[in-house]
Amino acid sequence: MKPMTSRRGLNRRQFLKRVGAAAGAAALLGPLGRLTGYGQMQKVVRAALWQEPEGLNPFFHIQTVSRIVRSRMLEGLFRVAPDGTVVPVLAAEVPTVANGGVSEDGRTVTVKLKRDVVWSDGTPFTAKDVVFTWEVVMDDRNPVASRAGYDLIEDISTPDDFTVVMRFRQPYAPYLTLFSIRHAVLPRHVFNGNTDLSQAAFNRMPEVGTGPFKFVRWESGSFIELEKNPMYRGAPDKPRLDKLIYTIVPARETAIQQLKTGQVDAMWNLLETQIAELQGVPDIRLLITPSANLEYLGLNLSDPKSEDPNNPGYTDPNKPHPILGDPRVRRAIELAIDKQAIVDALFGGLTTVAVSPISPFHWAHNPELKPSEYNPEKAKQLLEEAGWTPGPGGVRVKDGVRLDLRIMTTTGDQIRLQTEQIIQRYLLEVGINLQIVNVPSQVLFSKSGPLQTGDYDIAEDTWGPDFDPADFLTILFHSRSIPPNGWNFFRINDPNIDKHIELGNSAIGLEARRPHYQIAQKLILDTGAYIPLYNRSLIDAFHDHVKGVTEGGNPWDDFSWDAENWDV
Amino acid sequence: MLSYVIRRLLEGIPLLLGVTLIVYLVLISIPGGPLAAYRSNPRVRPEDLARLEKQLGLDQPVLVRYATWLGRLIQGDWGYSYVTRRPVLEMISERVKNTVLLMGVALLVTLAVAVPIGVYSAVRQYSLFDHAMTGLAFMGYSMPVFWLGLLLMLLFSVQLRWFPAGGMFTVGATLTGWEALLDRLRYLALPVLTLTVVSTGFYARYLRASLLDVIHQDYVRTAWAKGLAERAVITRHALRNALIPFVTVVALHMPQLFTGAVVVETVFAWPGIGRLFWDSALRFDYPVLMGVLTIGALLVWLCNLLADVLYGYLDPRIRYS
Repeated sequence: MKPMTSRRGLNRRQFLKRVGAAAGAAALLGPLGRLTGYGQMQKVVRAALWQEPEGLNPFFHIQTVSRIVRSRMLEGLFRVAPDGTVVPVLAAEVPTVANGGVSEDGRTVTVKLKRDVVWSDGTPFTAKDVVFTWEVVMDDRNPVASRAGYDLIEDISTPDDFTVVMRFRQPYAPYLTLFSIRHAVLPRHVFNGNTDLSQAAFNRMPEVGTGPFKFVRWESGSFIELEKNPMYRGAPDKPRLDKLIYTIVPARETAIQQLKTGQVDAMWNLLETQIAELQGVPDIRLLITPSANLEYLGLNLSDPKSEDPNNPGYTDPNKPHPILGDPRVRRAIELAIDKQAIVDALFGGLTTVAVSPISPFHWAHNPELKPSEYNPEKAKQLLEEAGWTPGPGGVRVKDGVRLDLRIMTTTGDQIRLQTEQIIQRYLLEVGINLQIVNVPSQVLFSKSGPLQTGDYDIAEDTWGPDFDPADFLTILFHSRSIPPNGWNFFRINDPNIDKHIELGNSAIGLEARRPHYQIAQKLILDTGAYIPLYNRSLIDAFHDHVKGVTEGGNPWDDFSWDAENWDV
Repeated sequence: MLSYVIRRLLEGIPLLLGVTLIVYLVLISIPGGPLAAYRSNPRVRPEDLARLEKQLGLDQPVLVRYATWLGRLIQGDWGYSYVTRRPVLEMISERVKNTVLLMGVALLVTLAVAVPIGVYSAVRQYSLFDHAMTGLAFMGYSMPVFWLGLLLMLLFSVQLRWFPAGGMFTVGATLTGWEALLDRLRYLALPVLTLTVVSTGFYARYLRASLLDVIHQDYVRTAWAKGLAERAVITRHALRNALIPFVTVVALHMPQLFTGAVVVETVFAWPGIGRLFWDSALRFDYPVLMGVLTIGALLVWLCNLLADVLYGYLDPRIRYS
């Protein structure tokens, strides 16, 4: 057979062969050129994150993993210690009214800075860096996620290189969160004072910081490598590691296998359902830290079928829910649920029953609050009193209406679905029929989603306060946060709650704020629209060869908050 | 031929415009939006949201946003990610080589396995081998990828310790030359195996059917009649013609070399385009999504054209005018 030749003088076979060979060679050899070495194996810890940071600028992202990675390099004025106290980091002391750091009227805050701090390139850290950071936050070109508090600063000045004086338009109680905790201070000299950081390379490669580690490189989708900062004020003792590498492993299941094979040394944020797989595995230990987040039920006080004439598309907070509008029904629902049994069944006792929107270890928690009792008899009695009498199929009726309610949470969460199913069973025992209608989280929480519009009966969600609970309590329980203006999706409208949240938000000093928040918590629970279920935990895992990890973790920070103490 | 190609290229322009418009409208209509995560954060107040919306141009009407995006694209500007604020093209290009490596090797291995199986199944139709291969092919084809990937990982990484459990290279090691190549191959093994298991069936079955079509034709019988050996009849006469539609199918799958495999890249922590797309989808990062989808659409269209042209080239009976 004579091979047919093409016009280009190549026969088909040769052509196909060449194409194949070229594709193979290109595919195999192409990327190899980029595989460069790391230097000799040193003291390295590789920690798996299941999410990739969006960026490393402290002000542009609210994502937890962004903060985890950048916190090793960029520090704030203060941080929160495991016991919930605020400790100075770049500041020399925590300003209070007592030590003169805060003026009597609460409008002036003076922060004294540490004098011996240098940036990782050797430049001294000064008060000018703090002022520069404020200017960055206020620059309209920058995609700053939140200016809360910063936009209340009327004037910021530096009487000397190590003192910052902030004057506020009105007293700002959460002043300790500024340039701290969720945020940090930026190095002015790196930008030559130019406050437009919208396109700065620094957002992805923060090469200069004051923290124990400094940035080396970020291989997109693979890992972010940090190395010890020799200029760190703890040097040469700290950090002990030469390198800290955060690897990006998008599936937690894969990270668990990598931990078992030793491909990674630590892993961030496991699910409660994954505890069993790692418990008892030799050489691996779990770090279970209480978190400020808790699982709760939110009951809709407004009629899902109503419409607010002022806000079309949203329910009218003044039209009560036909069933849940009666406080006796709300109380009965809480009494019918055995929360301890849920904790035991789903978490094997690894967490605790929640008692308040503010967790027990939080400084603002009200210790007088106790878990609700489980009393189905009392629940039935309350429902009878409310006019709901036993009907067919064990479901109560009133005026020909069945006691049917919908419960809603995010899809794809096994534990939540199981919680709903258990609650469904408990409520049926007292004559309430619960229908589970879950939706994806982006639908549940969207602007036009059921929580915002008010088209739901009962919602299950997780939320909790930051170190400063002001924003959390305001956005969830203050009457001015009723949708569309916030997340008071219960539509709680109680002037007393509003008053105590406001007093707690404006009093100066944690001691003065605490009593107001404690009263607010009591009042919120009294509404019966907020039913706390169980406290959530932060679950991380470490290989035994990682030494120096603080026992019990830090509920206010992330799993690698103490990486400067780690050793291998 | 040339005029045919030019005509097809011109026809593609309205097609691509239509595709981008529809994709844009679909993306916009998904509930959530780029600021969804910010909306449930108590520190991000309504005034912050309004400022961010304005910065991202989300306060503009949808069609204006599309027109702006398209206008910039025509000038070669693929825009900036809403999430990372980096140029879209930069984000795509740093991932594309990884995806091409994974998908390219997987395609080669798949073909290397599928072609012999397909040929042998057709030649020995209804034999034990054919039945066994048909069964296995369907099993692989219908296997949930995530589950299969994890299963292979448990066996080969955790139990046997032959291959690493995900990743693209050893993080924290110094490797050069052959060691680096070997390291890369070790990391490639499991994702490639997973992709091969799930896609071999498709190609093998296709080739089998295509070969069965030609094997009963007159010219093949003539070849047998001439007394040619089986090997010669099958490879020189039958397979050659059976491969023509097969090559087309392979060409139509070429865009996958770029778009990648979301699930396999996720299970094996492979930093490819599929994962970039998935991450961006979760965050409603419209510019990145539009970038990946537009390049994907462009490649689908080009590969269709390539398949048609290749068909004409490989099969002299087909002539375009």
